[in-house]
Amino acid sequence: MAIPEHSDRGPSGDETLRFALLILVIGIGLGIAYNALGLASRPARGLPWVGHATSVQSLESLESLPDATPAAASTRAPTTTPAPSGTGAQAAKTPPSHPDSTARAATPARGTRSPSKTPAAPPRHAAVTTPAPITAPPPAATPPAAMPPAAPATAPRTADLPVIPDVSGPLKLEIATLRRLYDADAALIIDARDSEDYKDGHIAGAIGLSYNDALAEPDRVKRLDSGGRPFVLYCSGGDCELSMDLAKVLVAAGKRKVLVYEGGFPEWQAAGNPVAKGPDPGARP
Amino acid sequence: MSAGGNFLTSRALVGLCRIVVGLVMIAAALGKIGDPAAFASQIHHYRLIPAAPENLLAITLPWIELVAGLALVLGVRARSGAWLVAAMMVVFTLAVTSALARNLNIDCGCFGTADASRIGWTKLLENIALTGAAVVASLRPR
Repeated sequence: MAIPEHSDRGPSGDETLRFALLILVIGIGLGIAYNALGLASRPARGLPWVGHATSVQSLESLESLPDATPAAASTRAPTTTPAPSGTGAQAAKTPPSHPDSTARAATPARGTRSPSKTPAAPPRHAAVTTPAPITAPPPAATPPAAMPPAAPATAPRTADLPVIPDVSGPLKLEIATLRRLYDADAALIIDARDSEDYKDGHIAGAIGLSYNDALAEPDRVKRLDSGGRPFVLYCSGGDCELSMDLAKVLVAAGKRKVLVYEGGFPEWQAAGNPVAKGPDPGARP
Repeated sequence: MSAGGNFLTSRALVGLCRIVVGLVMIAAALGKIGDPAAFASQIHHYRLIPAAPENLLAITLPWIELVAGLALVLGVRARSGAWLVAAMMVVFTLAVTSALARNLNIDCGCFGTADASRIGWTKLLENIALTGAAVVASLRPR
């Protein structure tokens, strides 16, 4: 290919530097103009001119506030998957195998903070955890009225579960709280790391949806259905912010009750909690 | 001039470097222009600058890359474009090195959300190679 060289003949170093600065100024000008047009459009597509550091509250700090969260705006995490209409992100591609086929009744107690206030009526929704808590059978197969009203003795008590405020943004949670949710199967846990890290090891039962995949495939985010349970996202702990970024993507997609476990997989594994390897979520113990 | 110097300033090599570096910069720019919010988030992950100017950087940097890349590919003020790209690549390489030194597990953000490459030694070597190519592209061909 012929390279035009007219600009390389003659210009001194000073002139080359001047034109480099000119390119810089033109680039800045174009960027500002493009963003200004985006901000002026309807709906606005541009980025705010000034970035803001976001601080995220922890679930535990909110729980310690006496009745800080209105009952109507909060919910205790349901303890089973209430037959979601959609599918989990990765579960749709790689159906997990869960040996546990025991049917469990749920007591969502939506909007209540005390088990004594929970109506004695049959649960509003319940589901079977077979084949997986992420992709439950369609609702028609398990009508709520047909489910047994009593929970097995081994089912975790709803009162043991944290109240999840229905706030607009993500919240952080600690490992102890996550373990309570995990033991009760009361959260859809999502690994925000890339697929290789996921295959190397992940929280048993967690589905994989990397931050990059979520950005590239927004439909996968829309299809995520936790069945009324909170979403719990994690990555590699420490400085890893993929889980918080994915949380913002979920929130932007209209998901509620999005929690971020900042300790991440290393802390979970180091504490001796259940982990799984490979491309499938794996079975919870 | 030595044989090595003659080779580095040969018309073919300088021209090739300009085309390659220019196309890489254009691809990198387009990946970021399409989703400035994601790019701002990727800048934030490096934790090198305060939050306030992150958005402004995400808004303007891709366009600087685009104009510089076009200058290289089209051969219009190509040496100026190459100088600018070389300077940017030095900054990017330092940022990647800093992230590696702090053991950050983050996306590179090099091509916005168009790729999912992570910070690592491979990425550092890629950046060093591209910086070298930009320097060669900034040479005056014989």
